[in-house]
This record gives sequence, structure tokens and C-alpha cells, in this order.
Amino acid sequence: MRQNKKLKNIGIFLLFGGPTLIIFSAVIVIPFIFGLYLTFTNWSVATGDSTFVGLSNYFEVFTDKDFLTSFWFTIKYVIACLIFANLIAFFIALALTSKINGQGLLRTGFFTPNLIGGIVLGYLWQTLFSQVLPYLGDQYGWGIFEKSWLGDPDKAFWALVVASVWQLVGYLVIIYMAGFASVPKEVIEASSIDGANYFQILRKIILPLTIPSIIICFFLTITRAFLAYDINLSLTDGGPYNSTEMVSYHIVQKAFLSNDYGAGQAQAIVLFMAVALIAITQTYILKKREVEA
Amino acid sequence: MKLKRIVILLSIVLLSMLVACSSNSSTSENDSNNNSNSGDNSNSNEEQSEDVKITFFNTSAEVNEVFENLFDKYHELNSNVTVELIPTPIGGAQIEKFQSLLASGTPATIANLDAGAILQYKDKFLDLESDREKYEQLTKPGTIDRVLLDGKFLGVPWTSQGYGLLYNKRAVEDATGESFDPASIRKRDDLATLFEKIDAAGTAPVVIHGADWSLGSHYTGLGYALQSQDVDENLAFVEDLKNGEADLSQNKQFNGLMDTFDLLKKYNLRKDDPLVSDYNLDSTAFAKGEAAFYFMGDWTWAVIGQLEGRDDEFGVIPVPISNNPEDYGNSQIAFSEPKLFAIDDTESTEAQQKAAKDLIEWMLTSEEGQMAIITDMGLNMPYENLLAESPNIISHSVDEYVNKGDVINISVMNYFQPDWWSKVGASMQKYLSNNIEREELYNEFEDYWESSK
Amino acid sequence: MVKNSNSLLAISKSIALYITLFIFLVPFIIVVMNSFKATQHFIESPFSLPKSLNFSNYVDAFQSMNFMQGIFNSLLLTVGSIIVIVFFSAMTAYLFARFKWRINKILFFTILSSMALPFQVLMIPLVILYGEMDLLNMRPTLMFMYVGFGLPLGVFTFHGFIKGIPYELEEAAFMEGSSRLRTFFVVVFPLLKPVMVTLIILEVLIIWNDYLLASLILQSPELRTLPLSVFNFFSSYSVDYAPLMAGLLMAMIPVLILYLVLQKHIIQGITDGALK
Repeated sequence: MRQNKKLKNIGIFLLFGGPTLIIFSAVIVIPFIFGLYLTFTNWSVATGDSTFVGLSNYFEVFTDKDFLTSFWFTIKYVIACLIFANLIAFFIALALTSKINGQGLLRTGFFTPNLIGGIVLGYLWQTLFSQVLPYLGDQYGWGIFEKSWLGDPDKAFWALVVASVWQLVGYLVIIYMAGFASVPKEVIEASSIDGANYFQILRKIILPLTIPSIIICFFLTITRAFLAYDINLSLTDGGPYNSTEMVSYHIVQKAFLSNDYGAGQAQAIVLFMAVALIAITQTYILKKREVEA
Repeated sequence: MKLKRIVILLSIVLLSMLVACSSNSSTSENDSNNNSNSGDNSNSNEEQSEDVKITFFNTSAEVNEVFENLFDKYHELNSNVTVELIPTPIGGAQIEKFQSLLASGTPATIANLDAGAILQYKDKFLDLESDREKYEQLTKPGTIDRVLLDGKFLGVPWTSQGYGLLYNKRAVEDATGESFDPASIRKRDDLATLFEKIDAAGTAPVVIHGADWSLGSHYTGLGYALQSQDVDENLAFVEDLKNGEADLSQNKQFNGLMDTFDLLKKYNLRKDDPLVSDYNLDSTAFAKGEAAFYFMGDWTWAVIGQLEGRDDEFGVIPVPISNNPEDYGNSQIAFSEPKLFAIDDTESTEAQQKAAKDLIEWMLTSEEGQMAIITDMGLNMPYENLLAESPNIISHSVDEYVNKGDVINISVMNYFQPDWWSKVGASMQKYLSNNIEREELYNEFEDYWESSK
Repeated sequence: MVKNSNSLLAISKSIALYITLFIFLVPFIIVVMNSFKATQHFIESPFSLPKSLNFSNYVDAFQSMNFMQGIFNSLLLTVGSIIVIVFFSAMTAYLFARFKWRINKILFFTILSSMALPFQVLMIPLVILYGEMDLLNMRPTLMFMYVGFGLPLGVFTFHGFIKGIPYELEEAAFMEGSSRLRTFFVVVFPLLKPVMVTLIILEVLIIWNDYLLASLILQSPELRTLPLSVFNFFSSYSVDYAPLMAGLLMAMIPVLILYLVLQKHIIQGITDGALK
């Protein structure tokens, strides 16, 4: 009897999990293992040979000052994106799922910017920051826009955040909207009618019910922001004077431009472990809350 | 060769998974067109052996279409040869793409690359020694010498570029109220006097493009090339820097160059916001006379040529680095053959290499080829007896220097690490935006060299 | 009195939303406006209205991108991979959500953590391994990889929602003798519709816009997807904005249509009330 159950379970496992696991291994796991192996060698495309060098690439990771600087810069960027993108997206999605005039238009409007892919998006914002905004700043004397944001390290950071949040919001709104689908309609309506208790209802009822979408949104924001590359390349290109070099950008420069593939790959592995740890920990913590709620 | 074994092992595991999977998933492998490995055609079938397919990796992305048309024309003339262009994205992604092609064992037959990149992958390219003499006769004197990499002829030059201070004649003359003779600028003080006059008339004397490639590679690169007319001595200077034995603050050429930079900086159109660095915008500003001078090269014609409402007369003068007109650099402009055609020597068959050589020669010597490069792309060719007339006014001006032999050989830069310009360019950006003083700038330069040993 | 203040609140909420929307749309509006201008005019005055409705950029882009070929390739790859992703990831998420075996937990977190993997780690290994097998420059290979990279998001998204579905529904089906697989497809799968729609939209965005992976795998002109063709307008130092923007807008249309069709189903989920 027990034997039978076990056999049946294996059958279920293979049936439901098999195809996914095979494809997942072929596209991600095996190349990853190979990539991991390369970090222990001094392999490079130019020479083609590869000698085993042990952990020396990993030692280099922590002595590379630029890597650490770019890592710290990326953490600040992730935090800013996490807060702003989720706050804005949450409230937009909430508004879009309650009764409001022109819902269809609004929904489509907030979604459309998403369709501009990463690199092109960066160039677009570059034009906005370096031409349109200074032009308007000049015209109307808005001090904050008089100079291009991209010429100043601090403002260039915020330029990156603005452009990324702008794109993330459209993305997250869809997930939050789907999340509100699991909140009974009456609750959302009640919350939009009774203004006085709005935030109470939000906190006590809506928020706990949308934890699954919050988990997904946080996870996606964290991983996407940590791995951001396209927008960094096209909006600031690491400038002004390498002050906005994010960690992925640094890795690409290291591996391909500085021709230090092993070291770049090792940094990428370190980045992976850090991001996976952070993203999964937050999922774990939030999932616990879900149970409590 | 341990790596090879691991690759094969993992591949077998992968392949067996794929097989297991293709019966499972809806991914059908039927329509796998078998043109992935271009080498297959030639050794598999005797009858087909005349048909050759070659690929062309292009880092001059702005002229993809011209090349594609040219390849179509070549295919009409030689129906057995098909040429496929591999376009590249911008910036660092170009070299990523090149490396991934090499790593996957499907390199392009011909690669149009920067000389420095070819040097880095020199073992991967065919030595063209047997064609050297032929090209020496075809090209202008000195060209082939400039493109030798470690003494080897690995890439065929097809375009040349000169850079310095570009001038907009109308803008200069309107501001000064007198006719402008470029030969009158023989030393830094001449330039300073002229800038002062232009500035007084309310026109910006110069625009500096604040991008790292312009500042780092083109501007500071002059400092190494001006050490001596002999590239080996320039390299020796860089060696000294790497060993911490050279002191930039005591170096006449570097100080002169940076003194001139201070002058440009003072009169820069983008003085208030120097790091905007929008290439289209800066070129347009210069072409329309918002700024009288522009530190740039003749390649900017690709942007300027098409503009409506631009001025018509442009030219180039050297960047003066001292007040002695006789100093090397005060009457010469930087000139180089930045891109070379190199032929793959790792996976390509002999038939492909032969076809590649023929194609290159045809592109550079036939009327169709020269028309495409000179007229359609607006580029200069370092070849004798050209059959096409260039519309690029700035390169006419460059030619005058080249014909007199008044050029600075900047091939020392080919030997630098590919990341050098972005690193020193960043330091120059700090200097341009007044975030560091010259002493710190030199320190950063010296640190870079010492760390790049 | 109460009613009045409520409608005031509703109105101010609408106004706030529309203002946010406008700010949100500015960059997009710039794209639309400038797709009718010449690149020079875009550079000189990006904010001005186009002088006339000039469609020449669209015509240029259509031709030089080889638009029909591109859209065919993009559609084929996107549709093909997303169908596979939806089915496989829903099944696997069901497995992980319903069977709390240790191995399932480990696998779930492995799959989850792969989403934190920088693409650069896999880039060179992928081309080396698949190059060794001569599988590059083929559509099925790229589709296979899209599935591989898309599955984790699917498993992750479905997992949370399947856990919210009451198990009693399935139990009832088992009572009637329905098999596990049949129960999944008859009972659970239809309930996943709202989240499925969301997932489809997210995956479409990723795959439709993908440039890097496609550029690594595909080479032949006849295989190129839309993002690969759009990049023809980039050069080494600058961008030819006018046809780029026109091309970009044309490439967006299919996704926009898809969204318009699908968003109704997200809303349907909302009006239907809770799943429970």
C-alpha cells in the first residue's frame, strides 16, 4: 500500500514537474554550473586556454574597490526603487480597481509606457533630462531643471530612479490589480465610499489580502533593480565620471571591456548570491505574515 | 584542453535532455534551417563547393545598410558568394557580441573592428603578409606602416579619419568681421587671441563634446602620441608611466595639452553644463555656427551633412599645444585608420578566407565599393587614385594635411587596454566640470597606468 | 451632506489620477509626436508639435526594418514560448503548492533564486554549450531558452495564487473519481485565469522586447525579431531617432492590442469577486 503511494507520488512529480525541470536545467542550471566552473579558471576568449586558478578570482572581487562602490550605489538604487515603485503602483492599482470614470483609458494609459523596451527607454529619458527639462527650466526659471541632471552625480542617481520607477510602475500595477481581484468587491467599494476609515480598511483588510501580490512585486522589484543594466547603459552610461556605475554594468565592463572574464564572472556570482539571499529572505518573511493574516 | 572535454560532456548531457524534451514539449525542431554553420557547405558536397557563404561583423553600425547594398551588388557579380552582415549594438555590447561569436565557434569570416581590438585577438586572425605588398601599392604612403600591429599585417585599412579643432568659417568670420585664414593659428596664443575676439562678438568660440571617448581617447591620447614621432618611443613613455617612472606634471607635452584644454574650457559653449554630451546636439550647434570651433573629427560629417540650415564651409586646424610654432603637434593633425577588415583564422575554411580576401579587395578597389564608402558613407579612404569624390568637406581639409605629411601618428593608442579611454575619460570629465584640479587629474592618470600593468 | 463630501473625494481622486497619468505619459507622447518629425527637428526642439502629419518615417522604418518578417518572427516566438510557459509553470506551481515534500521546497527555492541570476553569468556558457551542439541561429533554440527563462516567473506567480484556492474544490472532484491531472485542468486551471492573464502580459513584455538573448542566438536576417531590427537605427555614436520612434510604435501595436483584449479578463476577475 505504502509502496504504491510512493510510486504514485513519483508519477505525479514527474508528470507535473518533469517538463519544467528538464527545460530549467538545460537553459539555466547546466550553463550556470559551467559558468561557475569558469570562475575558477583564467579563461578568456582571446586566448581560449584555461588554467585552474582556484579561488583567486573571488579574492579579487573583494579587493576591487570599484566593484564595492558600484555595489553600494546599487543598494541605494534598489531601496529607492522598491519604495517609490511599489507605493505608486499600489495606489494607482487600488484606484483603478475601484469605481472611477474612464477606467479603460486609465488602465491602458498606465500600461503603455511599459511597451518601450529598456535600452530605448533609457535614450528617451536621456533626451528628456539633457534637453527637454533644461529647456523648460530655462524658460520658466525652475532652478532644479536648469542644468542637466545627468551632469551631476547625485542628480544622475535620481534620474536613474525616476526612469526605472516610471517603467516598473506600469509593470507592478498589473500585478497589484490582479491581486485586488482576490479581495471581495464589497470591501474595495466600502473602502472607497467611507473616506474616514479608508486607511484602516486598507491596513486591516486589503493589505493582508494582497500579500501574495506584494511578495511578487517586492521580489520582482528587488531582482530587477539589482540586475538593472540596460537603463544604466543607455541613460547615464555610468557617467558622469563613473559615479553611476551599477554593479551589472561594472561586471560587463570588467568581463568584456577590461578582458578579465573570470573576475567579472566571479563578481556576477557574488552578486547572484547576495540578491538571491535578499529576495528570498523577504519572500520568506512576508509569507509568514500571510499565514498570520 | 581540459575545458574542451568539460564542454563536450556538458553538451552531451544537455543534448540528451533536449531530445527527452522535444518529445515532451511542443517545441518542434523541424524547421531548423541548416545555415548555422557556414563552413558546412564547402567540405560536405563536392558539387556545391563553389558556393561560399561568408559573414561580415560590422562595428560601424551607422553604415550597415550601405554595406548590405554593397554585398547584394557583389552577389550579383559573383553569384556563388553570399555575404551576410552581422549588425552590432552600440557601445560595449559590440565587443560582447564579438566574444560570444568567437566563444560559440561561429566567428564572422570578416570582422570590421578597431585596430586595438584586432591586436587583442591577434591569434584569431589571418596573417595577411602575402597581401601586404599589394596594399602598400594601393594605399597612400605610410598607411600600411600605421596599421601594422606588433609588426604584423592583420587588418586591411578601409577608412581614415583625422581630428583636431574643426572650424565653422562663417561663424568665425561673422564674429571677427574679417576673413579667416586657418594657417594664421600657429601657436596657442594665436588661438587665445582669436577666441577672445569671437567671444566679444557674442558667439561661443568652441564646443567641447563632454563624452568620455572624445575627452579620454581623442584628447588625452594626443599626449602620448606627441611624445615623439616614433611610435616605439611613445610606447616606451607609456611603459615608464606603468612603472611609475614618468611624471606627468613635468611633461612638456601633457602640460601644453592641458593648458590648451584650459583655454577651450574657458570658452566652451557648454561651460555651465559641460557634461550634457549629446553628440547630435553638439554637432548641430557647431554646424549652425552657435560655436565657431569644435574638438572633433571629420566623421561628424555623418551628422552634419544631412542637416538643414547648416553652414557650408568647414575645416580643421591642429590643437596647438605650445607657443612655439615649430613644436611637433602645432602644425599637424591627428590621423589614423581606425577600423580594419580582418579575416577569421579559427573556424573559416580556406574557400571562405579566399572569398573574404576577394570581397575586401573588390570593396576597396572597384568603383562600386569606393562610391559606397566615399559617397554614401561620407568617409575618407587612405587609397590612391580614388574613383569617387567625397562630399565630406571636413575630410578635404584633413587631406591637405595628409598630403603634406603633416599628421600625428596616434597608433600608440592601439596598444592600450580597451577600457583605458573610459577610465581616463572619467577623470577628464571631472576636470572639465571643475571637480578636480590638474594635479589630481595627473594623479588619476598615473594611478590608472600603474594599475593596468 | 455626507454624499456631497463623498463625491468631492471621488472627483479629487479622479483628477489626481488623470494628472498622474499625464505625467506618466509625457515620454510616450514625445515618442508619438516625434515619430512624425525629422531627426534634426527632434534634436533641436523635442517638445514642439510636428508641423504636419508626415508618415515618411513610418514608411522608412517599415521598409528598412523588414517589418513583416520581423513581426512574423516575433509573433511565432512569443506565442509559442508563452503557451508552453503557461502550461508547464502552472502544473509545476500546483505540484509545489499542493505537495509539501522536502524536495519540492528545495526545487521551488532553486527556481525562485534563479530569477536573481545576472544574465551575464549565463551568457558565455550558453553560447559555448549551444554552439558546441550547433544549435545556434535557429528559432526553436531561442524559443526553448525563452521558455527556460520564463518558467521561474510563472511558477512563482502561480504558486502564491494556487495556495489561495480552497482544497475542498479538488477533493470533491477526487470523490467523483477524477484523476489528478484531470482535476488540475478541469478544476484548478480555470480558476487561475486572472493571474494567468497577468502572467501572459508580463511574459509577453519580456519576450517581445528581448534584445540581448535574441541577438546572441539569431543571426540570419530572415530570422530577426522586431527588437533586432529596431536596433538598426542605432549607430556607434548616435541614434537616428525619427525612424526609430516610428518603428518602436509599430512594434508596440500587437502588444497593445493583446493588452486591450486581455485586460478585460483581469477586470472580470475583479467583478466576479473573490475566488473563494
